[in-house]
Amino acid sequence: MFDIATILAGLGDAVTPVNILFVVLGVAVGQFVGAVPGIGPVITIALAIPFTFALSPLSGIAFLVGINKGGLVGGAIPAILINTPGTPDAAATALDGHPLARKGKPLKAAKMALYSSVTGDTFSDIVLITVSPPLAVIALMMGPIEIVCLLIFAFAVIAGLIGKSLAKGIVAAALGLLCAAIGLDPEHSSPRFFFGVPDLFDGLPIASVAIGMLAAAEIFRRLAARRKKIAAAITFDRNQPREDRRVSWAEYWGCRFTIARGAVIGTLLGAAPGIGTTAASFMSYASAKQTSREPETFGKGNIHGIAATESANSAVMGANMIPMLTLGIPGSVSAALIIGALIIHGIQPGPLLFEQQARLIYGLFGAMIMANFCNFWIGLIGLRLWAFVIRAPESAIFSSAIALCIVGVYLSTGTLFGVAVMLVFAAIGYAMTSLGFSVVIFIIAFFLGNRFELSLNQSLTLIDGDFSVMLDHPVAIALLVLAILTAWWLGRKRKPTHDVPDPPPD
Amino acid sequence: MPSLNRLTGVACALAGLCLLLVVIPDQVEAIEDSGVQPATVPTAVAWVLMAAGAFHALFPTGDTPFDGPEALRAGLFLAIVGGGVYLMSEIGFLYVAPGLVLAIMLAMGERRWFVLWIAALPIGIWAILELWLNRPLP
Repeated sequence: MFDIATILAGLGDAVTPVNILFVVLGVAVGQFVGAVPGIGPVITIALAIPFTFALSPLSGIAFLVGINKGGLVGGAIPAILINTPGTPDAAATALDGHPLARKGKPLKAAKMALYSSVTGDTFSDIVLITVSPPLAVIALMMGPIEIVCLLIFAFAVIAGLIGKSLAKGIVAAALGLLCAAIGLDPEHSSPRFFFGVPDLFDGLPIASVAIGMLAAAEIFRRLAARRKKIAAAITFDRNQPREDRRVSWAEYWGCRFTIARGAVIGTLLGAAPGIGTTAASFMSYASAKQTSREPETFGKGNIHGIAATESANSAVMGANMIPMLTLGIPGSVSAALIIGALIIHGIQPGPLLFEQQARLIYGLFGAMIMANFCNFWIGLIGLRLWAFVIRAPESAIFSSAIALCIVGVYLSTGTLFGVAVMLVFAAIGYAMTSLGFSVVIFIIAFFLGNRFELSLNQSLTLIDGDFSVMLDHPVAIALLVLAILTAWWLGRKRKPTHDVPDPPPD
Repeated sequence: MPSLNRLTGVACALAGLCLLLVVIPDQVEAIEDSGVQPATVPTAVAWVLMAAGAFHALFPTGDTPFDGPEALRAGLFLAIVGGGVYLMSEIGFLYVAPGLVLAIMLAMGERRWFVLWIAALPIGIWAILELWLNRPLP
């Protein structure tokens, strides 16, 4: 254990003027890039790492963490205002955020996203600070069999998002899994579905698929929409009542259970490497909808839908640091980049980190809490700024957004092939939405597909036909039972009025 | 005449069948002495597509909010952007992107003066990334 002096010294390091400056700068940059469709915090962290060489390790890492946290808040803004998620994590936020904005309450929706995001993030940071070591031990116990069962449980919960047609939902999930299967097979590394195109050996680039289906498809829809006169991308009524521009304490408090559940889901999924923010936000959304007394209002601008998704996706951020700091295992792409930055600064993440660099780690924890505080205040100012920018004519907004999507995907994949894949998936996303297939289910299945197949293969090899081996994995059995109960419960609750649409077309 | 919704089910079932009979045998290698084959998951997906597609063709549910003219316009914009991306690979981002942004705005019917300012945005992006951050663009 560490002495209190080390903890206080570490926290004290976090609040030096230089560190505060870099946290503020990181959060501001993160919110900016998060709010620009196509760029996102991951690319920005990758771009920013070389700039941290000149900084102290704490300032540098705090800057990168600030970008990551700011990006999660920023991504919700275009999702709500123009139905174009700035980051894939914010795709679920568009489900209720954009309908609420279309009802004339864009600021209320954006503020609810901000408050939920900061709450969820703070919760997971507190969990990170207080229970990192025990949670790391649990994460370490998650072998392939447990991961498969966790993913089956995740699929069971997400089944709550299947819309009016069960068959179409299943087809969308199957197509997502099929696209995830493109590239080298995880067990034998034999190429699949590459059609003579060597670029497909590594599989479809995640950034291309996510940006293509979630952002570019929506942009093409908006570009093609019939119009007599080019309007602003979203309009704000100057005479809007005050209650439509703010989130009252009663509204926030009314969402407390939704936010808490989202924060717990995000923290638990964040602690398990590889599951990611997108799955967490959709799981939280699905559970909020299923437990709501008014499930039919979800997808039509229910503030609980925004609270559920934003608290969950932000809670993943802090929890991702648990396996990263304690085991040296990155829980996400951004965590992997931060690990790279730590190593560049001469710090080796892993079990010895808390012993050898305790002061730095507590400094980082202090910076994370400070980043949440900055996220809140910069977010409040940034909302007004972005609301102002997005009042520009949609011709300007969407043509610029296409250029940014091209740049973002090119930077992420390093080739124009990635951009071409983005355009193909924009067309697929457009067609799926037009034909009533869920893009959301597709994306989740695509994100989880590789991990699912790898863990399934490993599990089948471990089990080797003897299913009594499962008795040695009580966590896996518990997760399977939970998955069965969830599927049964969702099946019982399923009514036509419970359907949730995809991100709503305008 | 069958509805578009029902036809989507038929298309999914046929896609599953095509995947099972043509694409998987052609594009996925079989590995000897292996319990879990590379084709295991794709084959399962193909069967699911066939079953779900056939079920949907027989008992269609849900909506198909398809709008033909809108889809054609979306195709036009997709073609403009696709052409722009192709030209970027030939000529470069700096020379093509401003024209691409301008073409999209003009195709939307925008004729106001600010189109020139917006068309200059890619030049700013290029300057930041190429000149300041040393990150190459196409």
